[in-house]
Amino acid sequence: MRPMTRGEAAVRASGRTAIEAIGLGRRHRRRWVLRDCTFRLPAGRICALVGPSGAGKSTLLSLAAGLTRPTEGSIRVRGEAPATAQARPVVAHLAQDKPLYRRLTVAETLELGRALNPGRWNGRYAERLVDDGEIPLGARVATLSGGQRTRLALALAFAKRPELLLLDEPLADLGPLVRHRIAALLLAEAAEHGTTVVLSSDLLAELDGVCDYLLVLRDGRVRLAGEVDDVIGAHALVMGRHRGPGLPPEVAAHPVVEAQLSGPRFTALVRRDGRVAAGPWETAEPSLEELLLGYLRAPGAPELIAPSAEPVSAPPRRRPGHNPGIPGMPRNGPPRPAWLPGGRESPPRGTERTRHDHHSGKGAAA
Amino acid sequence: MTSTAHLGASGHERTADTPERPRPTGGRGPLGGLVWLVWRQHRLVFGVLLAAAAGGAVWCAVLRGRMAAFIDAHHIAGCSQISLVARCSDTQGPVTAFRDAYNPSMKLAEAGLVLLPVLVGVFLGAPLIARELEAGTHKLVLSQSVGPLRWLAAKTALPAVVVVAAGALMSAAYTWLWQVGGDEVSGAYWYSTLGFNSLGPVPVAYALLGLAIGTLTGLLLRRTVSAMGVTLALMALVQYAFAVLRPHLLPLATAKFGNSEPTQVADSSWLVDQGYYTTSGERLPEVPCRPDQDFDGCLRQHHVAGQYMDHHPASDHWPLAFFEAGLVLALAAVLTVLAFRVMRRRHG
Repeated sequence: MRPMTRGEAAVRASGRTAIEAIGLGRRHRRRWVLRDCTFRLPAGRICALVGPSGAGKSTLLSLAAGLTRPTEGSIRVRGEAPATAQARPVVAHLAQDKPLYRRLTVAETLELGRALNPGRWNGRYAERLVDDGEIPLGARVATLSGGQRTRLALALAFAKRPELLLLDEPLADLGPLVRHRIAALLLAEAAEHGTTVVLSSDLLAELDGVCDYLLVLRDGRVRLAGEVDDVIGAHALVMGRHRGPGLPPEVAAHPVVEAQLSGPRFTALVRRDGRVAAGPWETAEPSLEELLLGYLRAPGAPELIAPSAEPVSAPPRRRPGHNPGIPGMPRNGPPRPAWLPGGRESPPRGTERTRHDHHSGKGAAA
Repeated sequence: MTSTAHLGASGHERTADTPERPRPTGGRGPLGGLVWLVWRQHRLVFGVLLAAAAGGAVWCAVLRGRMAAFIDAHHIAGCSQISLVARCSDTQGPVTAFRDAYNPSMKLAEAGLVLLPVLVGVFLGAPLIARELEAGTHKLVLSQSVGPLRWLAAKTALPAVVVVAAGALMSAAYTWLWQVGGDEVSGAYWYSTLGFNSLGPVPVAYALLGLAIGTLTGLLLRRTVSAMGVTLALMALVQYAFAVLRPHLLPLATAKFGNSEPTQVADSSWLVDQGYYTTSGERLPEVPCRPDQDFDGCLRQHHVAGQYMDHHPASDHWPLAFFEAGLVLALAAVLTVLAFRVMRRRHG
């Protein structure tokens, strides 16, 4: 489903950084909503920002949009601090609640876009998007349906011609048909201009095929970051029968992200440490959804920042070269001794506990 | 789905990379655009305010004409109900009739001018930012190309202009009316709390203060209703504090009268304090003498030399009014600067 133009746009934009966060943290009253966030998002990608609600997704997007300021650490957008005159015109942010002035008409809302984005606004494009959604220009925003409002809000964001588009759950609360159309619109827009898009979502199924970059947050920390192909290739889904009380040792030799045991059968998501040895089990590449569910259900899973998501300004930790990744190779550089032994022995990795409760509600429903 | 994608993409091809030039009619910079937005958002309140000011001004002008005619017809200019001025003898009847006819209207006008700053603070200032924060629409504006400080500048400047225009119109009209019917003849003296707050620069300054208090509390509290309540309370507090402080803003004039002299300052003077003074110059606000038991002897016993009256003559009115208005404006300016600092700290 990924259009061809996406690849071209990505190549065109490659090498530049859209967002770089180093040690980013944000505290709300006494609670850290986001902590120790370090990652890099190259320009030209469509990045899925995934995590259960309360994981810090909206906070991260607000920080990138310059709506809030970090409590600690730093975030840079195209090399600039977000709330600057250089960054503002090229970043568009659509908050989760899709804020619009309810008393303004559709035409006045577009006029707002024109008035507040001098020199950047593409009015004909915005009107076309609105017409395409069959939204009457004279209608007041308060009278529009949820889908129409989302489309208008997106038109406002697109017509600004941003280089970085931050969308906080743009597709939630929409019917499946509208969701499909708007996702297509988003892809077309991003493909055409090489726009970097960060898309937060609870719905896992809608992300597959849309996104080529992944950022998974849980409890305010980055659990997983990197190219989708990269990240998927670093994992294996192993299914089969087990004889002992836990996973077979050949499987448990790899860092286990999540394991479920039901009767004699087991399903384990492991981070591949070389090849998974043969045995009475099947090894497959997990789908994006399986991978995300695994990480969302297992709070103790070791974090994985793929080389493609490492900040360039941070001290390098990794192997030389920037080869985007060979499937089957550990994406995380040399294994860190800190988590390796723990990964094999600690209970959540599947040896002693026989059954996992599903931790997070929303994502699992998708 | 693919067809939508195609539509979206082809829409681009036609208009790609040609950001629209500003229309001839809408050729405004970013601040101009913000001014349009702020006007559009608050045009109802602005309209009500300006219409009320225009209506009030017309009403004051009509009232002034009728009052002037009445005063001329009965020759009661400068006469109070009980007057020592010779030409005002036998004017008690007409003055009473005048007061019965016009005092309720003057009180109404004064009440309107005293309420104006409170209403501005509660219904324009408090919701100005709080409603945006409550509805999340500040995120919409701050996601556009303009920064938060420019936004706040437009958000406060345009209402300030409208408030100054409406306040100045109403205040000027009432002051004009008061010049014929104020002080002695109506008993609406310049130093009455309502009167002082309605004349000259004072209501305009308070209206700007109301706007500043409302804006800052809305920004800090982020809730429209609580910001309205706090604004109301703060405005009442500030008005009360200034009412207490007002006589002491400028030095008082002191009139001294010997024991046998009649104690009297002009009707238009604001009597702030009075009492007795002794031969050594000491002031006795109270003397323990009773008028029915050898009052003079008692006074002598306490070495009382006469009485004093601390007052502001009518000539102090405008200096006092401008001084107080200046203080109020300075307070409003400080609060506005604070609002900008809060905005900058919060949203950069």
